[in-house]
Amino acid sequence: MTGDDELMDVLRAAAAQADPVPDLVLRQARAALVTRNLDAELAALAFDSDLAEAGAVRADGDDVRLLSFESAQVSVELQVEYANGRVALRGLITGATGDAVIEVAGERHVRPIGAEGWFTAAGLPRGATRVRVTAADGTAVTTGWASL
Amino acid sequence: MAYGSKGSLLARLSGSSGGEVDTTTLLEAAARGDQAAWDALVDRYASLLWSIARAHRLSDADAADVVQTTWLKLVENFGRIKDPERLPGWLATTTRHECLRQIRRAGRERPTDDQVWESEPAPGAGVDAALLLDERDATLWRALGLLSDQCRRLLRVLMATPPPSYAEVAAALDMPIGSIGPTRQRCLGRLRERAGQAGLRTEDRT
Repeated sequence: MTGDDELMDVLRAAAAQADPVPDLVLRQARAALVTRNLDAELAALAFDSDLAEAGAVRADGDDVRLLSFESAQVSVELQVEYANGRVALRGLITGATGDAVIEVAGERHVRPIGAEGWFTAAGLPRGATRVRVTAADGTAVTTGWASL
Repeated sequence: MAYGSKGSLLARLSGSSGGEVDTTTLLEAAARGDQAAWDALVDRYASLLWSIARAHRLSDADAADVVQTTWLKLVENFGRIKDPERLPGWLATTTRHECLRQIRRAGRERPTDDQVWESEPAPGAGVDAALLLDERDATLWRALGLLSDQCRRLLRVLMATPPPSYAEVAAALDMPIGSIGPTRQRCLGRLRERAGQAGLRTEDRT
């Protein structure tokens, strides 16, 4: 093991043995293709307080994360709280009525959007999450994935 | 092993050339819904993404979240990847951003008395050394955990299979590409010192 390349090869083999990609992670990755959304309009992430505050000092008790997604017709604002390893969402939808469908960890949670545009969902698992709504003109709109 | 040969699948995808299918072709086919092409992309880059998450000291659950979010974002952005040849860099950068978000999110977790969120041990090098059969490898693995954060992080990303390009490593760690070679050399030197202190003579060919 004289050269750096040889040592790197030994380390790579060690990592493959001691810390391989878990099978579940590979299976989930292969299954991700089915989330391909051809018909829905994307509401892209416009704001994430976790990014905006990066490097800034957070005040005590400031434990609500704010995310905002926007498409041409719809905006979705999410207030996210974490407790007990679960996720609680409070969402404000503009430009869509009916139900908000929350997709996370292979689960779908349907919540009615109230008269003022609010919906809530508690006890959600952590993980990549998106919200699907139907715009006033019938277009399906889906937020981008965000890891909550 | 997580990296089983795709055998006939890749042979079919690569047609008569028999060589490795290029990323652009795989990405275009996957964007049309071709599961075999998508699987090939996943197999090619899964270790890089996992290594980046581990380089950021994420736990099993957090690393899994980060990697899955990155794949989902790729599916979401199929039509928006302007330069498919840069896909590995896009994946590496997206994974790094998700790692930083995950680290920040962990600071928001509000444990309660009845159920404290289980704090898994951070998977620093060394935790899994017992799984290694070879004593020399175990010594090296433990020695990794004694290095500076910068060295440990760089070496962990470089340990991905297949070996990542320096462009991918630069994107994964937000490092200037020109600094990777010299830093790697310095860090491997430190690793030899640490392993040597632990009784391992890495210049031996044993």
